[in-house]
Amino acid sequence: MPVPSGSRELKKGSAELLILSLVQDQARHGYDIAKLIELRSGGELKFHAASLYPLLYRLEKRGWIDGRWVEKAGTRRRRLYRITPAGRKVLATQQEGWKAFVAAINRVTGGEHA
Amino acid sequence: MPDWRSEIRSRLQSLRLSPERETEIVEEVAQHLDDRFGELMAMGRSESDAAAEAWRELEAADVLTREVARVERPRPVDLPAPGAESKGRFLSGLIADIRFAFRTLRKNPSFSIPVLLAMALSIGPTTAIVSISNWLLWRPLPSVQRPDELALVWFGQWRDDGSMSPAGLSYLNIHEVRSAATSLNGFAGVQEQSATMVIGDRAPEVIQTAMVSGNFFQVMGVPIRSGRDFGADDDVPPLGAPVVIVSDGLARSAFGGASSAIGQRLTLNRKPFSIIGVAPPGFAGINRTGQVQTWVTGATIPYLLGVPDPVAYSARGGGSLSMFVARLGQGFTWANTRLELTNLAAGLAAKYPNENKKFASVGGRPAVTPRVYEGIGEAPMGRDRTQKTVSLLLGVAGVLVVLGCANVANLMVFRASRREREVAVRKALGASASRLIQLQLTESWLLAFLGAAAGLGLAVMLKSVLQDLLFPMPGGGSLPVPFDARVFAITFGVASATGILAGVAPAWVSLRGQLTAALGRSSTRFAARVPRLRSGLAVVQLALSLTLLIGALLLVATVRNFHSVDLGFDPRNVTTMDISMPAQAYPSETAIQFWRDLQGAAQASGEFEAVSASNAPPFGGAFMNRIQPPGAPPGETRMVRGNGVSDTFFSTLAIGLVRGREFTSAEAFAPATTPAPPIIVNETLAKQLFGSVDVLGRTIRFTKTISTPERDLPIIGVARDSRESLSGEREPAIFLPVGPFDFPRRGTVIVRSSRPAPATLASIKALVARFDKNLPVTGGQPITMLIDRGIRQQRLFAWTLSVLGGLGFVLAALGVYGLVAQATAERSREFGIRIAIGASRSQIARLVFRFAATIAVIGTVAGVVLAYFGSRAVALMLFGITALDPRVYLVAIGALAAVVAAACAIPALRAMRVQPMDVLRPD
Repeated sequence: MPVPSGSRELKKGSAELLILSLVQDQARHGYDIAKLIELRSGGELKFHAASLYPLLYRLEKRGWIDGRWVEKAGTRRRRLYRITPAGRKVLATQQEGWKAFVAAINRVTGGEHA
Repeated sequence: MPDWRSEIRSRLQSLRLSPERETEIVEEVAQHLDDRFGELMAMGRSESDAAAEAWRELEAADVLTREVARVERPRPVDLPAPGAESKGRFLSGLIADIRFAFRTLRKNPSFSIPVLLAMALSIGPTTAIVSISNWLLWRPLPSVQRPDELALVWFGQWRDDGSMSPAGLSYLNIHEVRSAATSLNGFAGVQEQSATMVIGDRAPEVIQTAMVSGNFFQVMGVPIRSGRDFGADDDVPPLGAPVVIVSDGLARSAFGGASSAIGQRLTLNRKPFSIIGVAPPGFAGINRTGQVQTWVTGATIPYLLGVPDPVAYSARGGGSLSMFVARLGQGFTWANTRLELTNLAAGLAAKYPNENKKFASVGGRPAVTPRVYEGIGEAPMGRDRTQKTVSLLLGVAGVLVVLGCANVANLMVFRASRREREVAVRKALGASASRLIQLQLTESWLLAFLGAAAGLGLAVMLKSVLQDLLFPMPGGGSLPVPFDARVFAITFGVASATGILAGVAPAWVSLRGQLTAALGRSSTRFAARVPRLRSGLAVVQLALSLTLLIGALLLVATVRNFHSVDLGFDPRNVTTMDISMPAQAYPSETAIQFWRDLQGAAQASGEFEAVSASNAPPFGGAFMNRIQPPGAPPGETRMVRGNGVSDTFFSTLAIGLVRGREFTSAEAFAPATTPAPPIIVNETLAKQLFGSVDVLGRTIRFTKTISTPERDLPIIGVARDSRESLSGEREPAIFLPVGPFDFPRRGTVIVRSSRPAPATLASIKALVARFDKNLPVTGGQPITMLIDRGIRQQRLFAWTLSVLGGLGFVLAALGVYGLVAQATAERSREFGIRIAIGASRSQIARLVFRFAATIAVIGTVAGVVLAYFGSRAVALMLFGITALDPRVYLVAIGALAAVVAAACAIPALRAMRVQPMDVLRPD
């Protein structure tokens, strides 16, 4: 996988943020989430089932997302995850932190341009 | 589409999630893979390519397992998680382990029941035997201080065969010895015997009473619980003081308590005594099996027994007490005492040559000498026999424990090898060796504990049976043998040792088990490593149980031989009861009249088929008469067994008369002073004296006795020989009429009745009470019991060894079964191949039996060798059979072969049914 070195830690720390932001507007199932992460990162970030689902379960256990089996006519029964109010607060904090972090990184790494 | 689900499930399995949660996760992740696979196929990838790509979603083998484990909680623990160490929560962990062990055992009854059985069967009899032995041999006498300083001293004339006639010391002599014996710290006479006791309105009872020196309780170190000890004034000849110390039990049952008994009165042999003290609880005399209820002073013997001339009795040359307890002085040994007492006895003769003739030497040997028996608690005469009996029983118990332990170990190892795969999986999942040992030890402990509990229950039953058989109490009571803490500790020790022993082997296996081998194959490698140990255990079991069986058969044959002995009389439905009359109330004529009246009243009642009176019942001891054989020189006399009998004696016992007639009623109840009463002799005596049974009208010369002059008595009948013991020679015997026999105050009522013995006893008691309500009637056992008393030991061992031998065989069969079953299971693949290439089922069965036969043959040889040496232990008890009787050995070996064959049947059937396809298919 063409991931730059150090991305593993980054991925780990940011994974929760990614998932929370993907489910903040609509409920999504696990495969959907994995696809979106891969697509939106342009293939830079990729979660396999073996680590994605345990992560989902952990978030669910913390009460940040809520997973439910949903049956729709004509489709298979699927488990959809949506954000909870607690998850929303966490997301907001994390987004703030992330923005600040990225800004800080940018200031340092992009300082040559300033 | 590939089967994602089962792979996902297998990765989650070790997490022990709840089934619902596991299914949910499997479903969700599998859908993910479905989606991925479908997408890749839609992109035009080949199926195998798509599948390989989708499989990649699961990443390395342990990722899903590890990641889910971080989030999901395992389902509530009902099994210790593999590898989970018990940190801190020791107790709850232990309870969980025990519950787990419980469930495991319940799930495997074919394993746990044989183990429990083996444990109960070895622990139960052992506990019973140890309980009785402990009580009998090692229990300290209650309340006695420093019993190790005590010894029994007997004065008597000792014969070469070890028997003795006691010779009493007068109070003057006792005083002489006591004050001169420097090696002793105390010396007190004690004689325990029965007496008739009456308290208030209670029915007369025959109890044990002890006649003791006034310092008895002091020498014994037994504190008086209530009231006072004997004082110096109470023990002064010739009559002493009529005071009595009673047992705590008697005080409570008769007077409601120790303190309320003081000052009360009771009669012993119709003499009033007043109670001055109460002994401490549990103290019942100098023997562990003692049942003494009253203690009086030795000085009251003439008063108590109605001795005609108390003053002569109390003179220096008279005799009262012949048995003593002695307490050793500081710094002395019993060897000192032996020497000192022997010298003192000789000194008595030297100092008072006229009075103390009995202590003088006859032919260089002193006539009366003391013997010192160290320790207290058991009569010296019985010590040897009890020791032998108990050590034989303990030996058998030891064999049973070995059998039981061997079995438990065998079964545990068998089971462990069956579980090797389970253990290997747990180990692979990270369980530590110590954790696995802990689990298996818990199971072993639990088994040991349950086995001990079952064994204890069995012991309670066996104990009461054994103690009654071993030591029947006069009067039909039971020994108060309790289970004490020590016995329980011993049992528990045995149980836990077995548990640990049995737990160590499997735990050891689990430690050393080769992981990959066990995981790769379901059958065991371990068993292949210790076959010799397991076969050895089976051989030991077979050998030991064969030994027990041979012993049992020898004794069963002995008992059977005894029972086929021709007694010379018909013992069926015959009950005997003893009556003893006090001398003052029953002068000779009154006593004879009483017997005549009682026999007449009993006959008239119509309740009994036949009634008779005699001085002694058959098998009930003997009187000896001294006669002078015809033609012998005047000084040459011989002793002959004699008995005084009534007119109906021979007909009641169905003893045939080969010549002449029975006594008439007038002859039987004639006065003691009748000058020449007629006599009846038995065949043996007739032949010995006259060489023929045609002896009617001849006379036999009786030598002078205390009460009769020398006289010639005419023979009016010759009776068939009747036995007085089962194993001895036929003995010559003389019968006299009961009246002229001149011991009329002690006798036996012999009754033949089809009613049960207790009913007969009750009827006779009622009849006796009509004449004298203060006259106790004792005994009342069927005569067959008196006969069996003589072969009690043989009967006991026949019974015990049969039961234990039977148990041993059950245990051995279990062991052989375990071994063969395991060996068969191990070889099932081989059997499958053999069947596949054309072996017949019977050839397979033969293979199984051949393995068992090897073990059986070695076990038999070892057992026969053991029995050869072991049978010496029972050789002296045998009758009509030798210890090396080949028939017994053949029967025992046959039984062993049958048991081995039976134990092989199930494994052999299983081996014959092996389907080649089942065993040859890889796991």
